[in-house]
Amino acid sequence: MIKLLKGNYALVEGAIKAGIDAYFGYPITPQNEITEYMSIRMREEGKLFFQTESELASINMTFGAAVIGKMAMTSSSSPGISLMQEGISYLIGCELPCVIVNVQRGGPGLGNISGSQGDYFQAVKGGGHGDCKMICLLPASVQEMYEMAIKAFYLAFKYRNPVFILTDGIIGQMLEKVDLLSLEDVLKNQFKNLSVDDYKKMFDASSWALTGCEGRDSRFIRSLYMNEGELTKKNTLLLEKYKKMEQELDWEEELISDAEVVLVAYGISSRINKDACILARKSGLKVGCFRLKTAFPFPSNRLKEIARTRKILVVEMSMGQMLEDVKLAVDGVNTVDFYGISGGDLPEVNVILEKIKNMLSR
Amino acid sequence: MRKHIVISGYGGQGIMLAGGILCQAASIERKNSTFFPSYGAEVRGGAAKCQVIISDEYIGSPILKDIDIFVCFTSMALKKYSSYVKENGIVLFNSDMVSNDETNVLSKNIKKIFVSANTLADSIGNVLFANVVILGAFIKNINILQKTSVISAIKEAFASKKKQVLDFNLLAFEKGYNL
Repeated sequence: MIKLLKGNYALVEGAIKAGIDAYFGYPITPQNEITEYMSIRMREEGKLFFQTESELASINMTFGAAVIGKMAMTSSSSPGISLMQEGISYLIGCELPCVIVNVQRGGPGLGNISGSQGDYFQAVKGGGHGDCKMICLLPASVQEMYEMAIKAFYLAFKYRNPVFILTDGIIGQMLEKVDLLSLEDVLKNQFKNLSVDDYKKMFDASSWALTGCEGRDSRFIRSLYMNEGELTKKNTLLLEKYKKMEQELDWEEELISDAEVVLVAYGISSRINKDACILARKSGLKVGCFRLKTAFPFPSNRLKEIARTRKILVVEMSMGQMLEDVKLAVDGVNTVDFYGISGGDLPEVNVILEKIKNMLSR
Repeated sequence: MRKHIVISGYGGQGIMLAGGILCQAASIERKNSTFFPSYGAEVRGGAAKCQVIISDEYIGSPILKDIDIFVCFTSMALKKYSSYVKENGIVLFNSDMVSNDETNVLSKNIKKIFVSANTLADSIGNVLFANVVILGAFIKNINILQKTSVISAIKEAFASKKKQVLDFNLLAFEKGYNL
């Protein structure tokens, strides 16, 4: 069914298609449409919608729903996510599944309410204190807001770990065409080979959730390990899990083969890159586009391979965050240029083209 | 074909609804379209603006820098966005809210269309229909969308309201179209 929806609405439709049980949220622009639309749709579906008194309550209620094996989600925008970080770390420590959405706005502090990509470090380098990792999905269209919500729940239960959807105020608030595909079709797009039955089976939490221990041994879910060596052992196991998550790596590349310069971005910036790429090609410049669909795991190997014979330009709505990961990946085999803009403004196609010309003339 | 449209006025004038209808009509015609809203904290009275891009090709950013068609509901909106209108662009004014003299800030190559939208809307019962009156004039004067698809989009936009509300809006659209 093709509809015209805001990104935030499409994300809600995706969560509902996935089979979400409970949503907890507190208002903040530019993610308000998620909470607003959830308040309508969750009640229509007979599911739990709860407008909390704060982001602290949101994440901890999400914890509560997750610990009894429910499909739970919360969402916020940048400052609200900062408030949630303690809870996120506890969810990771307790190995509980949930979906957390950040519709990024300008920062630091209260910043402004425009779209931004300034929370990359916060999302990708842990998300909370301790040795934390979360799979981080990066939608770049209203369609992907829908599909990645469906994907996120599956991955959360697969690894019993929160999955983070990192998007921005532009993708969240813009209206564009979306095809509200059947679950079967979304699984075809987002997974190599996953049936609807296998998708649904993943949400069976009967082997670990705290559901009352009548007729079975009691269970204990915790993130406190005080005995000697206990936490080291736990963190080693978590590290093994994080390594397994690397198989969920995803990216998209266009016009790379003959490219001399490759534009690297995620989210809304990647769309502006594509605009620039189309114009550059029209004027005979050999430019390609690389778009990250996951930030953790990070496509380090592929980026290094690309960089061996091509120059890289990172375009980001921050002062240079993903840039650091790209530089680590490229590992000095070629130059990495940067165009960053912060504070709610968007990268401009003309500036990108100018940078490309400079890079080619060096 | 790629057109950049900005609709601006103050909150409560139906700016977002008008932009949404254009975006939807383009989608009905299987064109690519995006809509991006921006507004102040006030429900009514604050500045409101939406950006609509309609294109046969890929649309990257939904945020636009230069304007092909500017639908201007207030003097404040004119002051803010007149300098972004392209040479040979088109500006539609709600002439009940913006005086002729004020529009002199626009360069001579920009086409001006004046619609007494408030007066016309008032004549069918409510000044709130002014946004749809202007849409009627927009479609008549600017050849980018079919009348039938805009009417379908209006029907969709008011599908959940009483039929009377839809009928008044369709009437408002015709008022603007038949100017």
